[in-house]
Amino acid sequence: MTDEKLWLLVSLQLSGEATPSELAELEMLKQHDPQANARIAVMQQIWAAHNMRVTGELNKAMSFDRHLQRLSNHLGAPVLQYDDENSPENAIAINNRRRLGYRWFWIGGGIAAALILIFFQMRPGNEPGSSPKIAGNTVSTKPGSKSKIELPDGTQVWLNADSKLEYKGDFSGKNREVSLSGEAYFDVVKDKSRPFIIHTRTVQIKVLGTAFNVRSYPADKTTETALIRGSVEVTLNAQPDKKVILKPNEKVLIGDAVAESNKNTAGDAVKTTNHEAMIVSNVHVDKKDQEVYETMWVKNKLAFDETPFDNMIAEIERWYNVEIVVKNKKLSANTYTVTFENKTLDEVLEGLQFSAHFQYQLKDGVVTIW
Amino acid sequence: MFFYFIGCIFSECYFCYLSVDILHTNDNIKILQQKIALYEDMKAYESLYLLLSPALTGFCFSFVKSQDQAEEIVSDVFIKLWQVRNKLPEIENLKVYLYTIAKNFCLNYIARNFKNPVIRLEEMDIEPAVSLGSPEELCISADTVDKIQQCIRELPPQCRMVFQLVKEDGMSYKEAAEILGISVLTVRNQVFIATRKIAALIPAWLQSTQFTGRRSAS
Repeated sequence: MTDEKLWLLVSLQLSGEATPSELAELEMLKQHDPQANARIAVMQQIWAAHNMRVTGELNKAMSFDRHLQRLSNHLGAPVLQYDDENSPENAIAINNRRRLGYRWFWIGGGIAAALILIFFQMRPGNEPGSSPKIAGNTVSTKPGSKSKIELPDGTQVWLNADSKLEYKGDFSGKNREVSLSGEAYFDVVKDKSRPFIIHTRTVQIKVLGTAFNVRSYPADKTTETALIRGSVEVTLNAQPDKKVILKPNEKVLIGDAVAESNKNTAGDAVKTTNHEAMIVSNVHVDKKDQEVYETMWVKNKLAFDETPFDNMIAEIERWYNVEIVVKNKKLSANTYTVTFENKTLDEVLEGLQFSAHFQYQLKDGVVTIW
Repeated sequence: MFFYFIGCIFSECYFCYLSVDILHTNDNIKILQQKIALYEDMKAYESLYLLLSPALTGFCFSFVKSQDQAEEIVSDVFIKLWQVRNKLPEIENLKVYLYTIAKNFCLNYIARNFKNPVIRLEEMDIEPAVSLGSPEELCISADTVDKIQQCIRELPPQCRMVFQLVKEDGMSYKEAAEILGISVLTVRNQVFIATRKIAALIPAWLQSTQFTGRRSAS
């Protein structure tokens, strides 16, 4: 009986849960039974052994590398609007209704997100000139987060920060139609009988089976389509007879209004139409890594290639979800070519500071540059 | 008698040191948690991964019994962590949070991939990942260490898991209870049962060996 009591007290002591009075009682028992001391000492050694578990540093570093790889591959299917539902309370609730739990949790979350977005869509005063509406599912990302989704036909879509993709429930119609605001990289599953059509506020893009990047942020005033493989047909919304067919590694830049000051490298074909400028050029390939700048964001790289300062700032704002105030207007004159991989906002600004010669201050989520 | 005393004091000091170490870790986690939440600090994220992933992998291994699978689940847990980083400040005990997610991921994995999934913790086959010292350190025979190992393996599943969390991962009773969704009293009892069963295997004639062992050490 005392033996039981003794080991209970020992177990409490070893777990670090014993109260002072329990510790005192244990001491008492030990005094009365000196023989037990040795066994208690062994028990203590057994408990202490966990500290000796050593995982090699190299091993750990390698496992972290593997983890980063998986993290960037995931790019967070669940970093959608509905990640609000993802609280620890829910995680624990799942435990109680294990089997049902997870699937319904996501579907429910998806429906909730869709409903919220439909509600917002319904509200009057939607800004004019926004993308054509398609009833159905909406997936959107907040500034500062990216997401990867798979559409019902198996098409993979990487959605960059602050972007929105809408599509009809099951793609049951003749066409597979989606509408996009923001930036996304598409890897479209081949289906000759049902073309895949992307609507943006200025153009529609028709594809059969291919991989390409579309960038159509409202703030950009341009829509850029960069083709990696396959072929796509880009049609202006305003002039359905104006079409461009892109070949692999070509991109087309379409301005919202008049032709912008030429910001492409020399040798680009520049076609200026009445309302909208269409500029066909080659995608920019990083000479060292043979990577295409336009799609680097998919791999979580923040890349700029002869990007005007203002566009770069807008991109950083979206990427890190911060507000940036530029006080020095002279900075806008230059363009920048640089790539950041997995860098914090501070590291990016610090890096730019040297080549762009500016000072900055980060305060309350607002960056001031002068 | 005197040497017993030295021995006890010695091991108790060791224990003080251990618990301080665990407290330290918890403070450290708090700091990393903040850095990740406020600055999306990749370095802090890496440190947190390096700090917790070995123990978490052990924990997951107990459920899924495959090292690769356990590592993948831990990776998923950390992906989830990165995804909810904006909400980290609201999480009171990150360690418990991560273990809970890990447990749920393991249960999901088992439900998906095992032929006859048992998802009640009390019935599940838990492979214990509890380390003991070497016979020399413990001053007992290798045979006894094997017996203790065997004994831990034969504990009821829930008891094994509780014992592992408290001993191996340095969880408090409250934390272990939260992770497994059981009461603190149950945790206390299970730890006691495990300790008592192991104690029964430590030979009673040990004192003489122990005594000389300590003497030569001091």
